[in-house]
Amino acid sequence: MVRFKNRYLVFELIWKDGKLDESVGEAALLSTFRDLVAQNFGDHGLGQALASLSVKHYNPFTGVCVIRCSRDQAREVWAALSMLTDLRNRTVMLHFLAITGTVRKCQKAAMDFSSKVYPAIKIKAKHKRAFAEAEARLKSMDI
Amino acid sequence: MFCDLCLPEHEDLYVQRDRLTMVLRLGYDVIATDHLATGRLTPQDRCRLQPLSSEAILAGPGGEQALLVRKALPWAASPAQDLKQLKRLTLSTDDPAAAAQAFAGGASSRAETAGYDLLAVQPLSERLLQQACSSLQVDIVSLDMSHRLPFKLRPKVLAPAVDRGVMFEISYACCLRDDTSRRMLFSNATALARATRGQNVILSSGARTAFELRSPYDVINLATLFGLPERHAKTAISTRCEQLLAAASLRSFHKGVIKIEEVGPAVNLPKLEGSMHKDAASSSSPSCSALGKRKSGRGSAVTANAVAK
Repeated sequence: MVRFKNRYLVFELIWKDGKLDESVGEAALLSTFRDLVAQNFGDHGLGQALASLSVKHYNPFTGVCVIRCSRDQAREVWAALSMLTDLRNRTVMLHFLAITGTVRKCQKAAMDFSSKVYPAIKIKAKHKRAFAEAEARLKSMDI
Repeated sequence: MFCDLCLPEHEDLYVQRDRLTMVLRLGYDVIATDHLATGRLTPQDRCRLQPLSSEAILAGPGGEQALLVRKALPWAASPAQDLKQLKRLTLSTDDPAAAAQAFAGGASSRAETAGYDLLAVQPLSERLLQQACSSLQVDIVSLDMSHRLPFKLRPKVLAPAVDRGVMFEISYACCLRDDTSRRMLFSNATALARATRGQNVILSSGARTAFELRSPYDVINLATLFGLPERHAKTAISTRCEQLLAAASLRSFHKGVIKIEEVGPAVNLPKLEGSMHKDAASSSSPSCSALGKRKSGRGSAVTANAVAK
């Protein structure tokens, strides 16, 4: 029996209006992504992807998002995600950054990206805790 | 190096700026703005497209961030200032005679097609598709994949185009607009990939707004789902587009090998007495006053470029 293998997709969410919405979290993204897979690949496609599809990390301040899916369905899930055009009536798109086979590599890709693009990000005092939590979730991500 | 060879022309320069900002952010290096002509070419279809300066693009909203994101991408080959902006003409017609007239003898022969870097035809009838594949002097055969095609894509009809190096284009933006177009795109693109076996297919966006663009690797992944073999999917948006551009640039050469170029700035000779005096006098007349811009006689040089055939 071969070990079950995953793929980790690292994306950047680009919002058209550029506003910060803290209510969009990992759960909201996951349900949107499930709908997208169902819309594009039907019940069969969703059923196959469902078991391992999950949003492992989303940072609303930088837009970086890490999605896990099974290796066999990675192409379908990826294609479904690139069909994303709006979320809660706001125009949005996913910008592909990396696809990796291990947690460590995807953490590295996500951290490298946010440290290069947001070298000195300024967070308002009321958001500081949420930002720290999101960062901690990325660092403590496990299989 | 990734290319997007179809951004439809937009009157609003702010939309164009937003699209170019997004193009930079996603890591493309070459884009072509497309002017669509329908029926036959008229004097109104002369090239009026203007590239935007990189300062203008980056001064817009999100410009700075686009630059930072671009630097973080491993696949962006050139700095943002070197974004290559090309001009492309697409003639959408069903009349083989109109197409033959428009593209007879390559780009430089007619005023309407002269200013464009790339020429494309969108055939709306089977006869024109045949002509476009076998004899028409175009670079790209573009098919409107968001609707049902009025003909079947047969390998025999498309084969001459593959031999001649004419590319078939798949534009993906229509699949982000509605469900029906998405289905038709998948259906048509699969048929095209099957008929050409993945050769001579290029991928472009056809994006009307910035948010209809997708990252090059998103597009490559989508193309593998169209049935393009993996090794062709990546070249379809990179190497093959570069080959196409190289071939298209040769069209301005005489028979594809010789080009008459102006030589660099001319050296001003000190005024001399005697026989040279006539030359010096004529150079002060307005027609020849700019010595650097002499176009004939000793001012021009013939450059021969060997083309591997």
